[in-house]
Amino acid sequence: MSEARARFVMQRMRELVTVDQEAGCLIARGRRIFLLRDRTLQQLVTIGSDMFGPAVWGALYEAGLRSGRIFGQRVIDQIGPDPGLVMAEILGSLAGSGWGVFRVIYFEPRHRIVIRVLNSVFAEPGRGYTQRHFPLGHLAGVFEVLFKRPYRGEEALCIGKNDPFCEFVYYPEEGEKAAQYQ
Amino acid sequence: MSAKPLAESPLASLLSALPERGELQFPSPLRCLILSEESLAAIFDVFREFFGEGYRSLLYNLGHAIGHRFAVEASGDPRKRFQELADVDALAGWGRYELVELDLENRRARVVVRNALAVEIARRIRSDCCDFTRGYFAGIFEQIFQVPCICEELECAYYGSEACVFEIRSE
Repeated sequence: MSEARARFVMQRMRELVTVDQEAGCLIARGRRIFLLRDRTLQQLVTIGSDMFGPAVWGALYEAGLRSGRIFGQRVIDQIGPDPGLVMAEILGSLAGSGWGVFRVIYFEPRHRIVIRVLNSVFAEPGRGYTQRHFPLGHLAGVFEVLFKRPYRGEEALCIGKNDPFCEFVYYPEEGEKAAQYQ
Repeated sequence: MSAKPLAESPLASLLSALPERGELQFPSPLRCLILSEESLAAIFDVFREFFGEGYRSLLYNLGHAIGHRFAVEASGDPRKRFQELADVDALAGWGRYELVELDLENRRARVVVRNALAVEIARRIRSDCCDFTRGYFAGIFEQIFQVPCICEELECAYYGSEACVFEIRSE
């Protein structure tokens, strides 16, 4: 599903993205974007962990959450709030941006959402600590603006821990956090 | 500015897309991903909130490690090596670097950066974040000069200069 969408997004990208080599700018839909090597992300986590310990993972989750809210809202503004369409666009865009293949495994936003990630750019087989907290938070931010309630993302499986693939599970927040959102 | 659609730019031949794997490679076979300016701004902003001024050291150390690694991968004489890195980074959307001074004997260099991505981020989060770029150039020129280097930012576009200007010299 997201592979077909990714193919479409990657084709569309060739038309939508403008490159100004002289200025050193890439622009897509009026916004600046850039290419980042996977190793650079790995080094961010490695160096950050050495300096600040596991707090780096929380920071990456929070950064993903904030950027996911912005991204999710933009997609909703562009194509409307239909959850199916928004999910297809979001997951396809992530795959088209080289993040890996994202598949919806279970989708019941009032209780639980399960997303499987294949070939994630944020994790490497058996590598232990990874950069997965960023996409984990990113999708939590998307779900938050899409369903108008906060979500808590947990990683159930990770190739970094020698699981066969990565799998994110999202639960709607209850109690105080949900009340704060209201 | 001379913007072209991706398909007509030199980036098209260097960027490989593997949609069935959700994978991009640039330059092939090195894996990469696309991030928006907003995503990087979120990372920098949250790191500043979480780690205070310590985040500047993190950015510097990160830039230094990457610059060091990229310079090892580049080949040719010092100017060619730098130009190769500058061209790749320009295509990747990080801004345009110009080596305006290179003194191999005294191990000094000066680089002007226009349209720096870091400056766009700084405007978003209202805090300068050229520490990454400082570390990056220090890492590159340590490889070129083969001695430990420091990099100082003499002018910054975030504070109103036309461009960012960095001076790199041996420690």
